[in-house]
Amino acid sequence: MTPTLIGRWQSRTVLLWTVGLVITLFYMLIFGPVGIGGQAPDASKLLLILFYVNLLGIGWDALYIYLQGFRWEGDWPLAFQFGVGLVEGAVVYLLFQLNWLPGVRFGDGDFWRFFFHYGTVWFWTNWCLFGPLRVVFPGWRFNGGEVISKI
Amino acid sequence: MNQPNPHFNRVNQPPPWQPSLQAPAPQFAPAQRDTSWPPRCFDKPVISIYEIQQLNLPVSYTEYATVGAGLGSFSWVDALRVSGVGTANIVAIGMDARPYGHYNNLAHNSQIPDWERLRSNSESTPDNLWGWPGYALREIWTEFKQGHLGKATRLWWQIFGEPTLTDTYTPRISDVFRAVDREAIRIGWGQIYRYGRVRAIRKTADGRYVIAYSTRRPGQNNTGPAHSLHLTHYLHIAVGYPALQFLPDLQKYREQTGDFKSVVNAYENHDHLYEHLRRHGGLVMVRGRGIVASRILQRLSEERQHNPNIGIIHLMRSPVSQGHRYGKARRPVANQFEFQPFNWPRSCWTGPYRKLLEKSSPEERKKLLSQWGGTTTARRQDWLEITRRGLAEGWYQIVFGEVDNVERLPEGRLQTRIVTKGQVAAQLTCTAEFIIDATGLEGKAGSNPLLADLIDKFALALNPMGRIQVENDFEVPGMRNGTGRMYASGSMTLGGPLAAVDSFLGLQYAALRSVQALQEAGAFELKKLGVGRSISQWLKWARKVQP
Repeated sequence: MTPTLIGRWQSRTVLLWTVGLVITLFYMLIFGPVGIGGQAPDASKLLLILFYVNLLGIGWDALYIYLQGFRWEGDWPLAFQFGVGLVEGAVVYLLFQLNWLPGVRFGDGDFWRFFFHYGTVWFWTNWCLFGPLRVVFPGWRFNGGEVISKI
Repeated sequence: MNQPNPHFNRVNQPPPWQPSLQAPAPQFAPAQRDTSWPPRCFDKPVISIYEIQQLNLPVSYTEYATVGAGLGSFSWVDALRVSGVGTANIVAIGMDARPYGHYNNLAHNSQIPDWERLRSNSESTPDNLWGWPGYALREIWTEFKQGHLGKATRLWWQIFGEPTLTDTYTPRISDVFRAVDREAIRIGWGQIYRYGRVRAIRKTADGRYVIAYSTRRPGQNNTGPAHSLHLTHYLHIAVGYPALQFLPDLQKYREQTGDFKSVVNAYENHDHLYEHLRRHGGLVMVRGRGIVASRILQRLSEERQHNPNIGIIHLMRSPVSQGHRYGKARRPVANQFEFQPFNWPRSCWTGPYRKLLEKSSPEERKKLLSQWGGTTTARRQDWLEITRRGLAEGWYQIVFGEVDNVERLPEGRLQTRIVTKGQVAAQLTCTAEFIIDATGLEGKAGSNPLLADLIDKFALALNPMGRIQVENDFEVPGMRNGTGRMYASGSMTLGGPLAAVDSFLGLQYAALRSVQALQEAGAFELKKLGVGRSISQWLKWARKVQP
């Protein structure tokens, strides 16, 4: 599947707020009330981080589409997709650590919480992107990743 | 096989006598029954049901029918079955019971044996409407189960890094065919397929189509009727490439000499050539620089391991110093070959290029196709190594020029006179044992008698590429007949809304688009392939359960 800009935005948003949301709620539970790795009373900030990953992603996607134009195939290989996910994660973490993300305060143990949360979301959303999403939306792959589209 | 047609006697044209009057006594001897083929009434574009009844030929009816019964038809039938249509309401008429039969012949002739890999993507899966799991994942799983962890890892790296970090993954031809066999059994292809050579298609006066087809199999003991008619409401046609393409000078040589052994097309059976070379050695001239030429070079280099006295002259019209350009990108070039993994840039199947082509005008489409297309081959390390070694060792040489004449010398060898241009303008003479034309297949619609007849009878519009013009949903506009609709897919639609029309994925896309259009038009039994249906149908596919 070779993505279009609209397709990137739609796929990113849909996956983050379905698969990503379930994973985020899971971590909010185990970092918050369950208290694995020391209780974090403000575990709800993971939801805000998910929102910022989505928000910054809108800009990242525009950059990726621009870069796609330099490729003869006009495509975006799997390796790139996985690789840029790591870069995006590093940038969000940096902003998080510098307390530049409004409404989110960086605290003790947040590196590991971010690491597990972002890592899991990154892994499973990419896995869905390259597999099961095709089964749920048969027109998705023909429309550059647009979820809301006809075949 | 076919359900009885409730509307078959729906005659909308009165019989030629008044019902209130007694039939007049015949004044002449009764007219002879029309036994011509195709029947004389097929001279007209529209035929009444009454006329069909008068022919006294076997007539069957299904709501859906597809002509060709190759992989294009198979993809269409697969989309129909997954969307809820039963086997009793579909017929596929063609000359090969296996949907990949003709494709397989062409592939084998062009040197793709069972263990070789196609020029096709992992997710181009004619046996699976969703493209997941693709062939790469299935192959990784097979290798993993057999304990070949190294091979599984290599495949994983290939699918992960393609096309930039590694060679592009392509599936083995035998794996694709096995998967198609499996899907054919699942969707009941055996009940849908019917042997027949389609002679003509006409509209009927009641908003349907009639297909006239012959059922005589060449070289077999035929029983039963020789000709049949089939009525259908929704028709699909995917007849593939009409003919082999020959360079004009080679065509002229074959016509003049009747020598079909020394000058061959890469897509016809030419095994005799390799047997001869293995025994006696000799020089072969290869024409064309696409992927078929690469496969021929691979086979010839393999033959050199048995007999090193085999030489190859690769004749090319002109050098390629730079690859095609589009926007900010340029296609890579090495050793006079332009490289891309498939015959179009990847984005043409599913990305921005597909969308751009769809919304462009016919003239713009032609321009875009010429920018994205052209003759290319895949970048494969083994092929790069063959050309590198051949050039270095001298048994493979590239010559640039245009052919002036090909003639047969008294001892049976072929002499080609080549004219070179530019700063090295000269005349060269090259004497070879064989010439292989690897320039491809002929795609012009008029080369297929069935399509030529349709174009003639219905004044069908052609696109700037000389193929049949289709709408964005692959409907042939000139064939609309009341509620009846005709769709086309495959090579006959090149120049339309999709570039990669003759690929597995292109055929599947055309099938899904046309079936969706039919569903929106309220066609019989068709259900929307929404989220719920898609998931439940995929689960049936995974469990090998019929749709």
